Amino acid sequence: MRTRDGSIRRGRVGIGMITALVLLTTACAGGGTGASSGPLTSVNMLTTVLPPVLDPRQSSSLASGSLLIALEPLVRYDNGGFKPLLASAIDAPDPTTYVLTIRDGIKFWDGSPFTAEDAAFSIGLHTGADSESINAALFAQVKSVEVTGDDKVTVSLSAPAPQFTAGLAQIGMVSKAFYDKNGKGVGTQDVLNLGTGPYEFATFTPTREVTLKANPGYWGQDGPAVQTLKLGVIGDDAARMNALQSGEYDGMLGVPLPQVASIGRLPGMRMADSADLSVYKFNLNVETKPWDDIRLRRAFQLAVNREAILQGALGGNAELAPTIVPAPVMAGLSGEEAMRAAYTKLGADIVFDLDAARREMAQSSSPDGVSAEVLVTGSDPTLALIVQTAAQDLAKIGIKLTVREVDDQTYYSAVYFGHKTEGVSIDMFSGSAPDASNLPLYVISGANAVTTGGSGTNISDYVNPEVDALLDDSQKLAVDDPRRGAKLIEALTLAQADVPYVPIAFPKVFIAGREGLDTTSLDTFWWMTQWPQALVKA
Amino acid sequence: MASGPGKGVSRTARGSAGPNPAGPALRFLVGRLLGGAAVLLVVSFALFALIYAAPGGAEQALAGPYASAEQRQAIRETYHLDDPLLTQYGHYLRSLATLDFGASFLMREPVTVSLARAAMVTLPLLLSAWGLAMIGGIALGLLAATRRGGAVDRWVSSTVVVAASTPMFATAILLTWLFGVKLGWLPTVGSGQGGIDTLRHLVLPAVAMGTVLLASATRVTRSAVMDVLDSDHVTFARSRGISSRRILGNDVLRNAAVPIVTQAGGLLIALTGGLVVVESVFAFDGIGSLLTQAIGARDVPVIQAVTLALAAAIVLINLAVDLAIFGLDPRVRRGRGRG
Repeated sequence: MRTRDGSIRRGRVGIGMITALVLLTTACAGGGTGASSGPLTSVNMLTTVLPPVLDPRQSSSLASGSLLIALEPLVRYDNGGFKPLLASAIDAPDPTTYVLTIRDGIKFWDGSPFTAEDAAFSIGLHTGADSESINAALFAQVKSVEVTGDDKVTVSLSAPAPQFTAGLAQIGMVSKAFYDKNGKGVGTQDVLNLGTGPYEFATFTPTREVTLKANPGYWGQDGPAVQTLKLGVIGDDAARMNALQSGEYDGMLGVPLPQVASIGRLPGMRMADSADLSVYKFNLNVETKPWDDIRLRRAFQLAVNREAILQGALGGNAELAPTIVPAPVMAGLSGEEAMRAAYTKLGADIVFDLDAARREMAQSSSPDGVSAEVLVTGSDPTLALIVQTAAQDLAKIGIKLTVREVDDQTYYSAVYFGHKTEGVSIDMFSGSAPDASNLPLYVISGANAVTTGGSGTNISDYVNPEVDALLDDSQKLAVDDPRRGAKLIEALTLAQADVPYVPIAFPKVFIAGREGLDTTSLDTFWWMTQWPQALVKA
Repeated sequence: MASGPGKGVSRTARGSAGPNPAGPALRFLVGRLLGGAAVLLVVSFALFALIYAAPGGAEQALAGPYASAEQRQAIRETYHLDDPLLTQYGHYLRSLATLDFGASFLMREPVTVSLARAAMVTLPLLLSAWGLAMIGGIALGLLAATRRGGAVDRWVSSTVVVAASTPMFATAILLTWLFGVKLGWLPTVGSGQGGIDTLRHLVLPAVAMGTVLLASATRVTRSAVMDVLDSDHVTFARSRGISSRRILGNDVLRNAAVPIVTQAGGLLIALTGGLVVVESVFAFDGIGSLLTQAIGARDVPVIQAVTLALAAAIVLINLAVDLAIFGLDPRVRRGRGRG
């Protein structure tokens, strides 16, 4: 799929030995990989993350883009909703009980049937307080998973969980017999895994590359779109550019924001964008002095020039965030009108006003100024850019921020798990399910504060019983009840008034693909879809 | 490490090597092996202590950012991450004594499997880069030294300065752009699927690594050969009418071999140090990438295994160099030291 500049005179290139070596080893070289003309038979895509093991317990979110086309889920995400896949029906006789009907006639690649036992086993991998699954948080309310009929699985919850179906769409179904046979070896390079999907695993290099081949005996109508599919991760920016430019890869799912412009300019490369279920935000820990003072937190918010951050650090590849839940996700639940009214008001409350900021600062517990070190991780260079941009204005009112780059685990340990920062942190929090309650439950629910023994995703340790009551109420309503949206908006409004965080922007997701690939229909949840079909339909 | 060629060693000198070298050689070998084992022990404990003190643990990588506190704690208990440092290290040493290197937390396979797989990718890369640097370096060094002050010498000397001054990643990016992107002759990333494909994937990283070190090998060879060419025994040989070719083979190369072999070991160690950068730039799935990933995930068994393997390799390279010099230099065999 690459073009070659015929005007280059090979004779001038290289010196003696190097050229000879190159010529020798390239004697039987082909062109780039991928398709050339006619129907595509293979597609090679770059992605941002791949799992260390081909096992749903060790793969979540974007990494699962390589798994869910092979280990199919019970329900498939489709255009903002969910449609039955390996389950033919999902009934909820009451808010804490789900009865799953397993579709008849489905077979794994090895020809063995997919049964209710397999479904119950696959869900059970992610349940229990001591689960080693990275997806356990999605199933925290699951009390029991039982086979209650030849094709029935009944899941009992300890409390209503409107996101349960969204959780099911994120975990692939596996074979109990295969797991029993291979034990701890399941998902490793030598054993791989067994699923029912249109693609079978072919080769695997942990966290680096997954190749899949078409499953000729696929049970469904929507069969494999290409014969071979490769997903790869390249961490180095220059190497990533080279791999796309040389044609070794045909596109990228989730282009890093700093590379959007350069990759978008590559000849023949098309870039599509969509809203992400993520938010960049400053977190102000209400339990850490002097940030326990709301006046200081207000002064901080007033002195953050979000527009400058949006245009500078984020290169315009995002939208200003009036709160922490992206507008389309909230509109899907509360209705467009209710969302717009609430978001307009929330956005109007976050203004950049240095004079007002100085007044708040003067009345705060730190009138002479305050300083804080803000940790960032190199795996998202945008974090440092945001802090550096904000620091310029914050310095004008006496808040001095310094940036320290650390590795991922040090960052996660301090910012998410231990809350061992100096009170100010920056993060890009990504939701784990396309439900409007997903982000609020993580970010402002008291149950997720470290001070209450929670997971720590409530980075500000913000605990407000009123907010918690509203969040609890929202969970008791039906999954698509607009009143859930109203409760969530009320909770977000209450929380925002206490300034435990300053929402900055919702980044966009960018997907690049060569001519012949259609990336326009892939949104931020591409990894939950049958994305190869969408990609090659053009 | 070895010193320069000194006053020179001729064939006649080799013939009167003196006492049986087996005794000192054995003592030397045993001493080196014991020293190496002590180094490995110190390295393994230092690593353990550093990982123990580092923020974050494997439970974060395993359970992800949404994990509950209970879930993280359960994982820490499963892998005994809350045990005191010495207890954990004691467990580790006991396992090592039974040749059990443990299993990767992240990849769930024995670390020996991960290590062997990565080594199969890295070893060909190291050896081809090293071979390129040494063969090319010796050839260019000889060429320059035997044409001292001439156009060839000036060209070689100035070219190697440029190559040596260029950072490895810059050479890598330049080569990739030229041969991978512009000309499309070679793949720019990945380590290949075996056979000719693997060979093709090997070329650019090997050339990138080898080019930088080619310069060092050239300089050392040139200087060593010129030293020997200036020595009295070469002048004497010339005065006896011995042909240049024979002098080069019998006297010059033999005497210049000691610094060249020493340099060869040093280059191999330097290449090992550059693995992380080169494997990152070329998305190579070797030892460097394995180590980077393991450190990122606090995958203690893998970090330990990779680091110990690298440390052991360095100890063995140094030992091999010393043994080679032992064989090459009769003064060392006679126990008169190497400066």
